[in-house]
Formats: sequence, structure tokens, C-alpha cells
Amino acid sequence: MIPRIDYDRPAALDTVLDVLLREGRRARPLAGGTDLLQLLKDGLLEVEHLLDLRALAPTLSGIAVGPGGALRIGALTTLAEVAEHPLVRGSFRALAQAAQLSASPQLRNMATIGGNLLQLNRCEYFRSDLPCWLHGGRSCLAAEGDHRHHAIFPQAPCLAVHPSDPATALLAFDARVEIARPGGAVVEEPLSARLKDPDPDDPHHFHLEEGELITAVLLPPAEGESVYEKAMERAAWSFALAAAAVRLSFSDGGRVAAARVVLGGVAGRPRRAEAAEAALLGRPLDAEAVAAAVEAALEGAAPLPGNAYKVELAKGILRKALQRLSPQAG
Amino acid sequence: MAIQTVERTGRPRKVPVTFTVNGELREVWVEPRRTLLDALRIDLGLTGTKEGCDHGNCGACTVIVDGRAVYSCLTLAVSCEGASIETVEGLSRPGRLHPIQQAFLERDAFQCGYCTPGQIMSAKALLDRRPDPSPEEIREAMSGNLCRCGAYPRIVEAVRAAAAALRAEGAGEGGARA
Amino acid sequence: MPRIVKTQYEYEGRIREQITVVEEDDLPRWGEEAQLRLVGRPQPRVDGEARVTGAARYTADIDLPGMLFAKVLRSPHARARVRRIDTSKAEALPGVRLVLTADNLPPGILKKGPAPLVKEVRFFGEEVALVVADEEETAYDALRLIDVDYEVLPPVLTWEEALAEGAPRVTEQGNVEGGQPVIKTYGDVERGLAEADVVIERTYTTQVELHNALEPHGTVALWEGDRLTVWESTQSVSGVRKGLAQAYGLPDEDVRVICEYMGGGFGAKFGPHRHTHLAVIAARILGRPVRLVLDRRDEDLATGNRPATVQKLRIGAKRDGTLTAIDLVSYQIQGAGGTGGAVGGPARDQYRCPNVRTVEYGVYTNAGPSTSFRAPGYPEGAFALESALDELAQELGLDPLELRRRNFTDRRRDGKRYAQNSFLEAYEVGAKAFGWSGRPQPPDPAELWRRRERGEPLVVRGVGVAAGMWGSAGWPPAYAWVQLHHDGTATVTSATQDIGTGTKTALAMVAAEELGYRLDDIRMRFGDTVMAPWGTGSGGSGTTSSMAPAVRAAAADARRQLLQLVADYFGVSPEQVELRDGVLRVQGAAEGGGAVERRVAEFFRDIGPINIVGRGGRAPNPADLAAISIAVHFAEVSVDVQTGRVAVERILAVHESGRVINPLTMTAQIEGGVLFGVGFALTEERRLDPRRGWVLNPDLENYKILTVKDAPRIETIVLDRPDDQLNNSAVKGIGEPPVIPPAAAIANAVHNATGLRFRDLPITPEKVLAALAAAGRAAGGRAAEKEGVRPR
Repeated sequence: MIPRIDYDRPAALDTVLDVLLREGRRARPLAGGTDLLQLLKDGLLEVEHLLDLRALAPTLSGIAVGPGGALRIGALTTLAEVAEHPLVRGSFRALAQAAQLSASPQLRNMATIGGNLLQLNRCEYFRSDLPCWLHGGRSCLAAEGDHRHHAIFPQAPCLAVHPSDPATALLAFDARVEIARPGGAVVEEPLSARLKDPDPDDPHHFHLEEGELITAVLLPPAEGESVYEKAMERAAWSFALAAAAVRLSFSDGGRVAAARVVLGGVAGRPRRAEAAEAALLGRPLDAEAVAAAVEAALEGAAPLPGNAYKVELAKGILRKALQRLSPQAG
Repeated sequence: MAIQTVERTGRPRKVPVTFTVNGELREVWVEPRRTLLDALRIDLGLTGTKEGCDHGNCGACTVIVDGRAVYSCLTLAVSCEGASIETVEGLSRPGRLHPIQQAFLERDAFQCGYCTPGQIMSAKALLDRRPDPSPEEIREAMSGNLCRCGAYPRIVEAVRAAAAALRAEGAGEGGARA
Repeated sequence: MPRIVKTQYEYEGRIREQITVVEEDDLPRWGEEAQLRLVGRPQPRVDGEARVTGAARYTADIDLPGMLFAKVLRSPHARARVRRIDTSKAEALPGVRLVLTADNLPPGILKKGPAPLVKEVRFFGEEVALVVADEEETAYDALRLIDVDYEVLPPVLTWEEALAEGAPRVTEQGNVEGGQPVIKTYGDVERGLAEADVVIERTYTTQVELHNALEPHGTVALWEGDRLTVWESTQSVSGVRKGLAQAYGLPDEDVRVICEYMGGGFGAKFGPHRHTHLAVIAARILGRPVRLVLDRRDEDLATGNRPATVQKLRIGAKRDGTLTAIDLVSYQIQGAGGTGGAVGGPARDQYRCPNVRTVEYGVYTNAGPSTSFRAPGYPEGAFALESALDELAQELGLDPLELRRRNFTDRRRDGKRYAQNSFLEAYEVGAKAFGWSGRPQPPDPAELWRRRERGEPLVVRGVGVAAGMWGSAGWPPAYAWVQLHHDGTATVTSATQDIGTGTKTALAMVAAEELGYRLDDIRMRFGDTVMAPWGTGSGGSGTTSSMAPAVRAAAADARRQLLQLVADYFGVSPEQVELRDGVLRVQGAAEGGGAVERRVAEFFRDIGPINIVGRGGRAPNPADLAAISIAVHFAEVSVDVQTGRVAVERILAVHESGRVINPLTMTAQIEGGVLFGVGFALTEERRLDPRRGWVLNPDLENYKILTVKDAPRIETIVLDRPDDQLNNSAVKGIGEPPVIPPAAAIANAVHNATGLRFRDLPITPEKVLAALAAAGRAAGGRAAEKEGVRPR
């Protein structure tokens, strides 16, 4: 049950930013609400004031095409709209797939791409309000307990993984985020620069200064083919056990000319595997290249006993993704 | 804009919200924290929409807001100002079930019936947009509604049958519906 | 005439005896040759319209004038002692009417049974305090204001810890249910094992499964003077009434329990439960109706579960497959109370074997208490037994079905003959329909691993089979009334209920069939104890098989009364009156000796008010026969070797449960049961923190129920074989049998697909990948190293 809150539906972005700056963390923007309301119901966020962004939808939602096929996805665009949009499905297929494989149809109708980047982790200990490190405890309870869903790349002390499917895909497209700041300034930064691991002071996976609001996700023109593969505990409506977003373009000779390899579900941030990209570059996408890339992608993984399977799972998912992009796969 | 600190120990502060429910304009006075689910069930007495988890993990509370299926347990009632909301109560007319309801009944696409209103609203949202979905599209569209009794095979069949019935009905009306 | 008998029946794998009032009937049995108009033909549900329109009112939909809302505060520790509890801030919150704790529960209201709030906490989520408020939100607000000081104690979480010397006592009776295991011995298992040519010795384990009916448990309690009315989401209105009457020292007649619509129970709703008592007590104190509906977290923490099992199984067989011994030692990890199922049931009764021993421990731990769960003990027991038979068949080089055929038995372990046992027919029919013959041998898993490492997008397929049995087929007491109305309709009344299985529809069909009425003219008044005879609880797959004979007898009684009236009116004998589809045809009544036809309502119009009520009771089961419903499931699975994910592609379910009343709802039961079994096999698992006993997934996010996309193609073959020695309607039960074989059939199919044997449920990607890797490394560790692939 949601604790008592105040609610406003500001008509202007400036009002939102002003209130966010003035009230700090006591105020929160409300977009799709799919995570925010869960967090409030479970007593995990101390929020007193919700600023419904609904009235800003005309300016902050929708997908616009820019020069060279770049896309601007308004922060209030729903995951369903991202998944269904022909331009996303065309040149940014991994993103469309990642959005489509997220959550459930109803949640995709509600959840926004901006909110998706601001969702909190799904660690069972954190979500049950157990005294974990994020909640002020001494240590990560998952590390000492059940961590089957947790990170396999070193990250201390919280082992929660980034929950988002789209974020993993967005990194494969070198996405940038557009952020409005108090006073009317708008900044653009690489998404990767804003991603962070959760900590007790700020459990988010995304760094926002007080008074800032994500207004859009920007996709530069994308070359090549892309794919998103996701392993789940059931056929739908599950967070990723492991996921891979891969984008490749090939030279005329069939060699990999450009590569992006990003793993999801393995760390506190979607993990770009540059070593794997390097292992692919300049080579045909044959069994050897795949094997080298897969090994390189998981190099440095340091799982605990209860999530060691994720290393093999991530390898398998990455192999499947690469296989789908191989020219023979059609 | 009046921004006030929340009085957490006093009497609740209620605000008015106006929206359309099943074609009828309704006003309710609710605390801002009240979900659409509770507003429908408690304030409007529309108990056909069910609460199964209150966390967007089961689908029993599915309603249609402005043409899209959503979880009413994760929607604030105050956010629905001006919205058009459809619930299971709005489907049938006296003496005549909606073709989706008729198909669920005939195919026995439910057991306990608790998830059924939500299933039916997901089906409605699908068929409003796609009159002739493939079985795969049906499974996708229905994948946000759990049925613990396990009526899934029949639910897929019922949605197919309902789609056919609606198309036939549409054709009977000169194809206007398609 | 009613008479008292001592009768025996099987309930969920256990033989029960009781003294009960039964009523015999002299109706011709609905055997193979019976000519029936309605029974056996698919009928949509008589209450379906209410369920598809949202008009059906479930417990949480009950809204009474002046009603208050209650919420429960639960322990955040698995084992603890409440030192001090401060409710002052909660009590001061406007809108809060009452805060109850173990300290201020008024004495004297609850007269019998344990207090529903505790100070000695035995599991995570146990009930510590109750808040009642004007609105549900306020009750939640108040919960957050209660300050509890706990002395946290180390919990007992595993069966090994629980059975260890000096372990803290989880319950007053210690850590083993009844203080000792239940041991049943037939023949001499050691001798049987010595005589065997092959012995399979394996340990199988199964996980805790949560019921997770989509409708949570809930109660609305209303006191009017000393009369109590309770709306309860329950599988037994009669049972709850009896329980409440005893607990509050009230005459049965002053307690009314109502459950008109029920959103699934699966064994967990046989109250009164603690939340029932809390609502009843609060309503008594406050003098206003109180609604207490659990939320999902409450539901998953404290309303019961299917206990985990560890089963050590030894099976001995001759070369030709003849079983010589079955020896099972099982530990059911039952949490802080409750009774487990009969895990040893399948081992004892399913096959012919001269030497059988089952040793069953019910072990208590500091976790949520267990309760009955759709076929308690049997999916667990069948997973072990039917997996082991598959392993044995492999070892013997025998087809798994042939092995089962060779060990067919026509009697229960206690020597009673099964009235009918259709396993042999089901094996044959199923094998043919499934295309069983010619299934390939399992591959070498090491080879799968090698191909995986080469990057192949490899999905392998396999098929498996398993069988299950279920021994219950109804019991007395079960009573019904059939009242004929002046408008030509009839009402069937009984204090039983329809929990979503289609009971009302099946029994309406029985009543219509026997009366000679149209189905549309039958009204069902179930789910309310007021002015209704005792009806059975919906458990043990016994609702239809208990109630149908009673309803049929009541309908026959009403029909006899009606036909006598008609005969008297027309001056003919009752034999000259026919009644079909609500139309009377009276031979010799017309002038000139012809027949008169008249609708029942027309006839009544001519004669003024009527008082025709038929009574019916269920006869006892035959003393010298045992009942068995059977299921044989064939599974086809695919295993993605890259991700380790098992997908069930197809299940063929062959069942025999006696006469089929309504094939539409019966096959629905089978499909739904199969899906329960698939979830048990692959995805469902309540998880505990291994040190603290916190439940990590008391929600539908991480407790994985199947979605529509997980559902395999399910084909059902129902052998419609009236078992007419059992009861007048020749019916048995179907709710539970389909849950029993899927896990074993799937595990056997996974073995066929991969060469890997999984003896620990659920079969997750984690386990599949680990097993593949182990096989790969065992076979090719050195070779892999040479290629520069580092083993992990």
C-alpha cells in the first residue's frame, strides 16, 4: 500500500525541474509508475511528492528521426511504442527486441524508456527491505545468501544487476541521454557515462543530479545488423538471467568491420565487452571468431558458487546472438 | 502551484478526479495514493476488476485505459484525469454477452474465474487493435495475465474464436468495424 | 432410510475410517449400459456468465455497511521472541479502530484452539499483530507504526539441522511429526533386494511449492448478536462452519459460512485459518463487520505450501523387470507445522511388488507451515518412483512402458482389489496416440557439450513417460436436497461449493438427468451453509464423487414424489408417467386412453402450491473394493543446449476416472493439472535465505508460475469407463491425478533428450548447464585444455 503522498501534474517542464531542485529526493517524477509505485508500496523509497509528467507527454514522448537516421526517443515514450516503431525495428532492431522482451504487454504499455533507465534493481533482499548493504546493513546479503540472480563481474559490495533490457541494447548503439537541468539547460551525454552501480546513498543505476530530468534517449545513426538475446526463467515476463545485445557490420569481404557486444544481467551496469569486440574485428564470423569473442566477453568473470552458471549461460546467450548475425543465418 | 508537505498522521486529503468509465463520466474523490484498481473497486463499486498481487505481477487487475491494456494496481487514480477507462463490466449488454465473453464461456477458458476479467480485457485490447491475430500474437498479448488454474490453451482458443466472431459481426455490419 | 455405518475410504493416500450417517439408495447404477441424455456431453458452466462478466462476487468483493478493514503485521524473522511491542503510535493514527497483539487479545472470545497472534515466532511471516481501521490504506499505515522489539534466535532450516542432536524444538511435539516416522512394511525389503538382479539406489529431492491461487485467502466476519456470519474463500463451507462453531462455542446453526465464488484453493483453503479467527475476533470486539483479505505476500508466507522432500529410494528387480523390492525413506520438510502428504503412496500402491517398505518423516523447521497441496505427496513421490523406474528400465534395456506393464497390479497394498484399474489400457492407447515406439536413445551429454562449445545453436528433443495413481473416489457424509418449484425449475441445495472446477455444472447435469428436467431449469445453491445439508469439502478429488451420488439420490426422491402426484392427479399409476426435458407425458390420461403431454410448470399451475423436496445422501463405499484413478502422461521436451532452458513442447495425458460427467470441464481439469505439474518440474520454487530463513520470493515476480507462453500443447485422452461398483454415478475424481505424473515424465524426457538425469526439482537452466558442463569436463577435460579452453 502506498504511503500518503502529495500529487501534482505540472504543465511545464520548468516547474518540474524547480520542484525537483527545491524538494530534492522528497519529490519524484512519475511517468509510467510501474517501478515507482512498487517501490512506494514496499516502503523502499521515502517520497512525499509525486510530479506526474503526463501533461508533458506532447513534448517528451514520441520517436523522431534526425539526420542520417538518428533517432530521438522522448523519455516518456513507452516500451511498447519503442518495440513497435518501424524505425526502431529497422535500424535498431536489438532495441526493439529488448523492449519487446521486457516485462509484459501491460507493463510495456505503461513503462517509459526514461523510467526504464531509472528503475531500481530487483535484488530479492533489497526488494524485501531486508537489512542489506543498500539499506544500511554491513554487507551484501545476497553475496552471503542466495545470489542466483546476481552479478558475476566483480562489483562491491552490492551484487545487484542492472535490471533493464533496453539499457543493454542502448549501449550497443552508443546511445546518449538528453537531460534537462534546472534553469533551462539541456545536456547530452553518453548513456554509459551516467550509468553507475547502486550504493546506499543512491540505489539507482543511473546518476542524476538533483533537479535533473531525463528528457530523451538519443540514438546516433546505426550501421550493421543487431540482435538482442535474453535468457529467462520462464518464456515471458521475467528479468534477464543473462542477455546479450550485439551489433555487427561486415566489410565486403564478409569480415567484421564494426562490433558492439554488450552483456546484460551480469553486472551492476550493462557490460560492454570491448575485448570481445576486438576479437571479432577484421575476422569472418566463423566458429573460431565466435569462440574467441565468447571467451573474451566473459574474461574476468568472478562468480560466486550460486551464480557460476551465469558464466556459461552468458556464453550461450552470446553464442546465440552471434549465430543470429552470422551471414549464413539469413 | 501549491506544494505542501504531506501530513502523514492527520486525516487523509482527498482530491477530485474525473474520468470516463465504460462510456460514463464519473467523478471520484480519492487520496492521491489510491490506485485506479481501488478507485474502481471501492469508490465505484466495480468489483469485476480483481486484485491478485497489487504489484503488476499477475494481470488480474487489467483494464483498458485510452485503448491500451494496463495494470490498474500500478496506476494512480489521480493520473487518470480525463482518461477513458474500460472494465469488464462495460462489455456485455443486458441479455447479450460480448463475443469475447461468449467465447470464454463456450470454450471453458477459465476455471475459478478470478483472473478472467483481466484476461478478457487483455483480449479486448488486442482485438481492438488487431482483428485477426495469429496464435503467436495472441499468446504474446495474453502473456501478461497469469492463470493459476491453467486455462491457457482454452484462453488462446477463445480469443481466436472471439476474433472470428467479431470479424463476422463486423462483416454483418457492412465491414464497418474492421 | 438413514443409518449409521462404519466406513472406510482413502483420502489423499491415507486410509480413513469413520462412523457416519448414510442413506442407501436403490437407484440403478450408471454403468456402461446406462442411457443418459445430458451426462457425458460437454456443457458450458452454469455459472459461467457470472464469471466472465465480473458479476461473480468473491470474498474480497463483499462490502457490508459499516465494514472495517484489517491487516496483519508479520514477523521479519524466522525464529524470534517478541520482547516488547509498542502499538501506541498505530493506535493514535486517526481512522485506526483496534490494534491487537498476543498481549491484548481478549480472553473468552476464542474458546478453543491456539491464539492467532504469537510472541514466539516460528517462521518468517508469522502473525504478530492485527490492525483494524476505517480504510485499508489506514490499516497499512498503522502497521508501519508498530514497533516490535524481537530477540532474534537462530532458525532451524534444513532437515539435517532439525534432526540433529540437541536441535531447538520447532514445535511442542519436537521436530518430527508424531515424534517418529510413519513406517509401513510389506514383506521383507532386504530379502527382496538380495533377490534382485539389478538394484537402483538413488536420492530424489523436490522443492517447496506455493499454492498461489490468484484469489488470496480472505474473510469477512459479521456478528449479529451471538450469531456469526462469515464470508470465507474456502474449499469447505461446512468444514469452516464446524470449525468456527467449535472455536467460539456456538451451535452450528448460529454460524453461517458463505463462499459463493472462489478464486482457487488447490488445498490451502480448508479453514478456519488464523486470519479467519482474527477477523472474527476483531468483529466481535468492535461490533462491526471486519474484512481481512490477505495480500500476495501474506499469502506466500503464511497460508501453507507443498513441503520439500528428500527421498532415498531403492528398487530391486529381476532381469525380466519383475520388481522384487521397493524401499523408500522420505523426509518431508514441513516448516513450522502442518501435515505433509503421503509421499510413500505411489511406492506402496502403484505396482505389484512383494517387498515394500516406506519410512516417512515429517520434519519441522522454521519456515512457513505446510498444508495439503493438490495431490499432497503424490507428485513428489511419483517424481522419485517414476524417475527411478525410468532409470531401472534403462539399466535393464527394457522399454519403460513394458517395465510398467510387467508390474501391473490389480490390488491395493492392503490386499483390496481395485474396482477397476485401467493402467494397461492407458499405456496402450497412449503409446499409440503419442507415437511412443521408436524413440531414440539418449545422446552422450559430453558430445552435446562439445558441440555447444563449438557454438552450435543446438536444441535437442526427447520424450518420456510417467504414470500416476490417485486412490480417492469420494466418501460419505454428503447430502443434498432437490426442491421443485412451482415455475418448473428446481434447486439443488448443499453446503458444498464450487472452487472453480465446475462442480455446480456437473451436479446440475446429474440433477437434470435424474429428474428429467432441462439443464436450464436447474438452480444450484451451493457455497452457503444456511438451510443446507452438510456437503463435502473440495479436497481429495472427491467433490463430484461424493456429491453426485447424493444429488442423484435427492433428484430421484423428488422425481418419485412428483410422478406420484401426477399419477394421482390423472388417476394413473406412476409407471405411466414419463418426464423428459421438463415435459410430463402421461399414458392413458387422455380421453380414449391416449397420452397427455404437459410441461411441469403447467401441471403445477393446475394444482396450487407444492412442497416437493427430495433428500439424498451418499452411500458408503463398498467394503471389499478399493478405488483408483489413473493417469499416464507422455512428454516431449526440447532443451536449448546453449541456455540450458527446458521447454515442454507437448504433453499427452491419458486418464481414467470412472464415468465422465462433463467432458468440457473434466478436460479443463486435466489441462490445468498438467500445467501445475509442468511448473513443479521447471519453474516453481519457494526460496529461503540459507542462513536466516527469510522467504526471498513471496511474490509473483520471482515465484514463477507459468505464463501462456510456457504452456505446451496438451492433448487429453479420457477413457470414459464407468466404475459402477463404487457409487451410483460410477464416478471418481479428476482434480488431482493430472498433477502427479508430469514432473517425472518431463525429467524422463529431459534424460532422453540429453542423456542427463535430473533428480532434483525444479530442472532449471542452472542445473542443466552445470550437468552438461560436468559431463563435458568428465569426458574431455584434458582434450579441452589442449585446445586452450580453460575449464572452470
